[in-house]
Amino acid sequence: MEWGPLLGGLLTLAILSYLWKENPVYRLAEHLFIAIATSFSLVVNWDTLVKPTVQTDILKNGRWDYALAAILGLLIYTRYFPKVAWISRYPLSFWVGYGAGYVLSFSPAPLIKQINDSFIKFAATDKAGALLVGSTINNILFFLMLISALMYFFFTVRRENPLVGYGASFGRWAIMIGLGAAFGNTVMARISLFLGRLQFLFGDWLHLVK
Amino acid sequence: MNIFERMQKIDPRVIYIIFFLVLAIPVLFPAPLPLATTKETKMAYDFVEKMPEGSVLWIGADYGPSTVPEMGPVSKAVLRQAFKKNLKVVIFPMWQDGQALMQNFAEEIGKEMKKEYGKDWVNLGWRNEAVSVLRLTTDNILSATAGVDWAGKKLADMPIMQNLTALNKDQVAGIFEFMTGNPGAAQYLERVVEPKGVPMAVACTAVSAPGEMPFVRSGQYKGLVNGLRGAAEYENLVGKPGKANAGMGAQSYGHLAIMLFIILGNIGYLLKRSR
Repeated sequence: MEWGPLLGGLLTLAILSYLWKENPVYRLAEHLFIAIATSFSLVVNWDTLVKPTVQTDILKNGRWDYALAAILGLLIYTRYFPKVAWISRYPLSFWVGYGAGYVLSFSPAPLIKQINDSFIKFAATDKAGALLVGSTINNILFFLMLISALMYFFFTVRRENPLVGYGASFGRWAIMIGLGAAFGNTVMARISLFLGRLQFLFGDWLHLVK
Repeated sequence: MNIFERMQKIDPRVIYIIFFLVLAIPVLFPAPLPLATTKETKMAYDFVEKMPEGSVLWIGADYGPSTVPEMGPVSKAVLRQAFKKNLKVVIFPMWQDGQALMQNFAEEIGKEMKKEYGKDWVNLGWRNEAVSVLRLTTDNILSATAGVDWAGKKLADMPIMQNLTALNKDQVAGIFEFMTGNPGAAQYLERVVEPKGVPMAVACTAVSAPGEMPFVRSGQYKGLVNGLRGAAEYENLVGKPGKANAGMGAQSYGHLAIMLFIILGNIGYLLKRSR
């Protein structure tokens, strides 16, 4: 008998039992999950971060400069000692400055391309120059929904202005349709995850399906 | 009290049981419904298919165990396609768990297709502050990874690394990013795709797909595989239906059940309001 699938199967059922009502078996499985996830995270961090960095990078490959970063990182714990707590601002300021610089260097390029892509030609044609009706309607809808969704968040002009009022109202519908599509995808994703569990229960554990 | 009014007050647990049966029966007795391939999945498939034999496919393994039902099948399908085309596969995880998950998938498919670790594929391994390490790989992979793979083996000794020094368009034919959140495709866009011009296709969970679609339209992604459905389409394109296809029948019946519940619930609500 394979103990892994048996244990996994029983724990899956224990977690799903919450759908019926809260019960001690569910609580046991929940506590086990949190404990195992914490231990797993510790072991993974040790194996993939601490050990290779110290053993391979620093000791074996001589990257002693890594130790400087470790010292800077450790300084953050000075905040537990009121007299020297001010030192903890140095690693924090380094981290914030590094993060801000990094984001400002790299983030604008993909976003600018997105803005460029919003300026589209309404009439879509194929290679022979014939009008593609479906794509043209899509392009017009895209433009209308983009502008009206932006209008919904435009608070400088009062909604009494008919252009802004009707535009914002259409924008609200556009946002609701967008959120509806996102919600539909979320439902699909959650079903997929549950199916993964069912495939495990019926396949790996009970061997009822291949 | 008519049937619709009674359904308004139905115990949620009854719905759970019905839903469990609707999903479990097709898993036990598969009855798949027809599945059309979406344009975005076909684009992603063609993107890999058009890569020259022997070129490098960079794989971003950025997901954890919680999304394996969606991301596992498509990972295997892409690896199978890449190995079939004799592409050199370089795995780079920005998620700690992604390292072990993609390693297991590559070992499984690699063994099946007689591919050798170090020669045909390699796992560079997860590094702390992986997003910065990703940026560094565009300059020098050996320096960015301290010269070792996920298990501490020297990269310089591996045949696959002999002509691969940096992640750029001259040395890497393309990126296939498997993402479920942050870090993920956005970091590749900012640090590799835009500045270095390396093309990229993405596979993501269905939750993330609506947010990623604009990048396909703008041409920043060369294709997008959307959740389990996209994975099933990809499996079909590769010609080896697997777990995603097995789940798609149940997925479709589940959606039908949800639609039915919503319609019945709304009819009941409208009837109640009209009285």
